[in-house]
Amino acid sequence: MSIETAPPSVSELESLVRRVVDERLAQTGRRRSATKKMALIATKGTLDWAYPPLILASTAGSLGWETGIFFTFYGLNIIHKRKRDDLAIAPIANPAMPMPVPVPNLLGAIPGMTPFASFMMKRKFRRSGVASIRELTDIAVESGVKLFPCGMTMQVFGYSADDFIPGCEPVCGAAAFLSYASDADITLAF
Amino acid sequence: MTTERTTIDAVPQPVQRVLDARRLLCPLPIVRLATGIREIPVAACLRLLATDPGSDADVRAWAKETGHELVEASRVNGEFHFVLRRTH
Repeated sequence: MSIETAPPSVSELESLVRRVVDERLAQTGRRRSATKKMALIATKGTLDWAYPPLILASTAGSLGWETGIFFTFYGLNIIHKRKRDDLAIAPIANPAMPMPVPVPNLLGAIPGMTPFASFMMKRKFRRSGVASIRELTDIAVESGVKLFPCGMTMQVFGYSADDFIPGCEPVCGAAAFLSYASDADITLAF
Repeated sequence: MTTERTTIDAVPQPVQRVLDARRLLCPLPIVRLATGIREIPVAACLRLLATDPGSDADVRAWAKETGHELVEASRVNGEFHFVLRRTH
């Protein structure tokens, strides 16, 4: 003889999961925060790689989320006072780059092609209504996004804390960023 | 003129401010909206005009995440028009 019971509804399961999670979190001394948190890593210093972390972070700031970006390796250029205005994009070895006319990719090796392509790309972005890297980094600071410069790569590349835009967090290392990111809801690396 | 209108709240709201984010692309319309909502009193409304193709989904997500109320969303001649009420 078997007793047939109706399967639990989705909402019953949800409340059960929520209760179990809250109990477990209470045991570990951590609570679910009402504010969402996002922790990003930016490792690249080219124009195209600089945009995604800055767009996501400034948007997260606009959503009221707590947000931080760890800038390491070439990503440091994004928050560098002078270099953030001169981020470049190289057409060579980038077959996805839109060109006005089809040209062999090897032509990207000609001296001057990278500055030219970067100039064209920035102009296209500006005319399309896309914010510049300067604007986005300023918006990030204004909206409370924490910008963490990586101490190790700063040392290797010879940067000092004064090289970075005002509003950056104090120089830190992997342990400090991992601690910051450990209770984030979203973590992404670029 | 083509107008598709989804009215969420039937009560007409006085709009205190118009925010023109047309011809701006992501994330600027949302950044401007987040700043703009703080510059009007609680319970007041602002109208946001946008042309970014992602605006409709983004403004709805912004309202969901921040708790401010999307009172009206419409498309007028290919532009997105929103009315948002500051709730806190």
